[in-house]
Amino acid sequence: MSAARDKDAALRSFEAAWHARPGDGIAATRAEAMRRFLALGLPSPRDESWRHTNLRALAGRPFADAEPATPMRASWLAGICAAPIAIVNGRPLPAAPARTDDPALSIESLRASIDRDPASLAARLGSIGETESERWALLNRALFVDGLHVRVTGRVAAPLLIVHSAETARDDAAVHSRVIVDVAAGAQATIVEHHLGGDGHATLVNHTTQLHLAPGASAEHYRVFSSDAHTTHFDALEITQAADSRCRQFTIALGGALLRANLSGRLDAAGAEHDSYSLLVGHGARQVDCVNAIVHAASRTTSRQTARALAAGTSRVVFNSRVRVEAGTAGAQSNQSCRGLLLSPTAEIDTRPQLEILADDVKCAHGATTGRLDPNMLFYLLARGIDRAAAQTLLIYAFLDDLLTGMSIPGARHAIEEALIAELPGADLLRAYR
Amino acid sequence: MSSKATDVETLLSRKYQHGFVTDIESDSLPPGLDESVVTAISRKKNEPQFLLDWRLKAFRHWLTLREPTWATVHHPPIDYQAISYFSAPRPPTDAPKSIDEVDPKLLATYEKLGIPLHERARLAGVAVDAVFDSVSVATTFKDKLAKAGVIFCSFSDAVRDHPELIERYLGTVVPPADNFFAALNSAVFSDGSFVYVPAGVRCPMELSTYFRINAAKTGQFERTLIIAAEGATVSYLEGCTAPMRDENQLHAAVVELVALDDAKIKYSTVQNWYPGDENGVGGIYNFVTKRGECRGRNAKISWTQVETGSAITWKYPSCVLKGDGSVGEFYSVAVANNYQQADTGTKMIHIGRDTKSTIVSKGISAGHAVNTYRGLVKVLPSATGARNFTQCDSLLMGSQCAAHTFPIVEVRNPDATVEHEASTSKIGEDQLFYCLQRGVSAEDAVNMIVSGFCKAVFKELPMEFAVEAQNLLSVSLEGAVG
Repeated sequence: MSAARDKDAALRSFEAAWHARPGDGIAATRAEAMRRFLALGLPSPRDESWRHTNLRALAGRPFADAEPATPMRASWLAGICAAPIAIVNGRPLPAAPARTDDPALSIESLRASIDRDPASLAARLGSIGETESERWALLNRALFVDGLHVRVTGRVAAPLLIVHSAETARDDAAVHSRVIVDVAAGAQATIVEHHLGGDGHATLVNHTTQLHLAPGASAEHYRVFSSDAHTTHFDALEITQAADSRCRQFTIALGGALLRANLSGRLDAAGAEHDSYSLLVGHGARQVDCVNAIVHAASRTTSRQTARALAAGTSRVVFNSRVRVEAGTAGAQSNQSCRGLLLSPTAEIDTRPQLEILADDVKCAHGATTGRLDPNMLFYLLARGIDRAAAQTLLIYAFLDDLLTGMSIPGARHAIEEALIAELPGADLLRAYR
Repeated sequence: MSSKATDVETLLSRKYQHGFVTDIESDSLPPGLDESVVTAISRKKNEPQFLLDWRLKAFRHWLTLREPTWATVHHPPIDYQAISYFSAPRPPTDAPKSIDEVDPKLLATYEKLGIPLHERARLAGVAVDAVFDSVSVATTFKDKLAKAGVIFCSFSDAVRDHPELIERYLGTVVPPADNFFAALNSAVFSDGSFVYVPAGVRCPMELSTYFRINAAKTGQFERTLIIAAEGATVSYLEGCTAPMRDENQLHAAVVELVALDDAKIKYSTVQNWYPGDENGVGGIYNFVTKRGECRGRNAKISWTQVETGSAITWKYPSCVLKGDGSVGEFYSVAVANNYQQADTGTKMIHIGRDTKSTIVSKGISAGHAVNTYRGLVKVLPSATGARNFTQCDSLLMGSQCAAHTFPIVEVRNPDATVEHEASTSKIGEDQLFYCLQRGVSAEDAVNMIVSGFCKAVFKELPMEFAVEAQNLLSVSLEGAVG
């Protein structure tokens, strides 16, 4: 690299990667996405949705596709699933994943899905999350190397664990991967995606998950981020819901240098219900930018968003949630709640709970608080002989753990609590209390 | 629903009551804007050199700016060269020396508005500095204020009589380069009000200005500067109505408040400019920059606004809480009916220790209107013990209107407490039913429910305004139940 820093190095390296790719069955839709992405360029703080996350440093770094690799580490969530599926640097391992123990669940690699029926896969890709502000999803459509296509046709009792790991030995590696989950009418599934890896290198992970729920379907989706402290992670999750479908979504942010976790939900038909829970832990110098956008596009739809944010060290946590109720709908209900806890004078929490209402028959509310621990609660514990440090630790843990009570897989909750405790001050004390 | 809708149509078709144009010859500049226009305005007003330089600097900066597009408002592009930037009512002889010398037609205009200036001012004990178009023509109660040491005059008079105060404070809260409209205002502002309350003085009366846009195609570029010195207290009322007109009129005012140690400034606005007709034709574009700075310890600035008029409102009265222990307040009712668009809110910037702010915003949308709350609460690392409470509620009437809430909360001090809550819903069917069932007409029921909804804000208004605001609200919303 020359002495003068190239501020568009990242953009040009993505373009070069695009030109170097061998064509596949969905080349046309990829080309269209790439063209749009290049026209938009990387987001800057002048883009309203990126005002709290500056990508200038990233924009000046060139990236190259991560090579195929073998997984180096196991997921601490492995206990919840007998046969987890590994995706390493965007590619499933083994290359043709199969899961035969449940006839209601069929899994193939996206590469196989593209080869088998490129037209229908191409049609599945153009999606709601690819907005101007969430342009990383566009880049993902152009560049994703592989991933999974999961189809759920009946009630699947056991959770499916997908472990995404970034295994690279370089600082400039970029991983572009995608997961598509289609839940058929009346079917039910629990999908857990765990992102880890990074190996101390400044890897870029750009992942997209598309989840579609047909009429009457129900799904519980988890995405857990516990990458190394140098990883930059752009994650786009798109959820489309048909009539009377129910979705519960948990976003758990426990790792990475920069995590931008986007959730775009669209309630397309009456009776659709969406609950999302975001646990955002800022630690060290981490930046967590969580952006939720839920669109009520039909009558009698319900959404609830709950977030807990913790910022320690020099971290910055952003929770940006937008609910839009389209014109012509009636009976939409929405609730947003975000509570933030600041633990250090050098940390920052930014909240933007936004409502965009274009119909009159609605009930929408949001609440957001940012502050310190409740002095009354602290007093209660102190008065009972618990020392201040322990009381604070317990209250911080309780503040965050509150969000996890809705998880239906006890194994997942327990493992996530363990990982959360490791991030908190007074971890040993908390373990002793458990 | 359909029968209700017809009622709505008839009730909403109520005409703007204050729609009339007074025929007074205006001494206007031709449309257009360049450095010579800026210079001409300054020369016409015999301004000192420093002010002309200041205007020209602002104008040159304005040329580098683009009109902001982030607000959720839509309007055809504004041609800034098609606007006349100065218009003064021509005095019959010279400047009037007392209220009796004021152009009788002008006084008649106030009569039609229901404000018999001299009578009402005396009765209510309110000093009225009436801004008719761009030049102040009548000022009352000067003696009483002068005895207390309070300076309350038009901006032009202040430039002439107190240039040192203008030079010291002008543009220190809203710098000329602050934003597109502030830069434009700084370059071409015509007149406005100036208030200086000296240390330890409690202003003996509520100060009030009535604005009225009159000459065709003249944007009004008001500049208001209020300074409350150590321990001073002042309450300022601003109210406005404008005659009916088909062409959109641009209004880009700047209001600056400075509160020093222990000073208190209360700034109340009732804004009822022409909102356009029921098809969205005409109406005022109101792009205002209002900001107050609590510079001293325990200073307090309180904004109260009732916004029922204007085709487009773009207004964010803000508080910069620099002094330790200073307090900022924002109480707002914004009503948008027909095709009105209101994008309003506030900014509270906490810099000093133990600073406190309260935001209560009530938005009401009816017809095809769009009402947006946009706010920022920012707590800087220095603001230990800062406290903010924000409540913004929206009420929707009719399936074609929209209500948006876009708050931003940025906290960088672990010892701060910030709370924000908001709700959006339509007028409660059960509340309406309760009233109807007890023989209250639908219209009265809606009025009652709406005034209940807005009560938290109305109780902050000075007495003089509270009644007017309540009436305005019922006129603006009459029959808007859908």
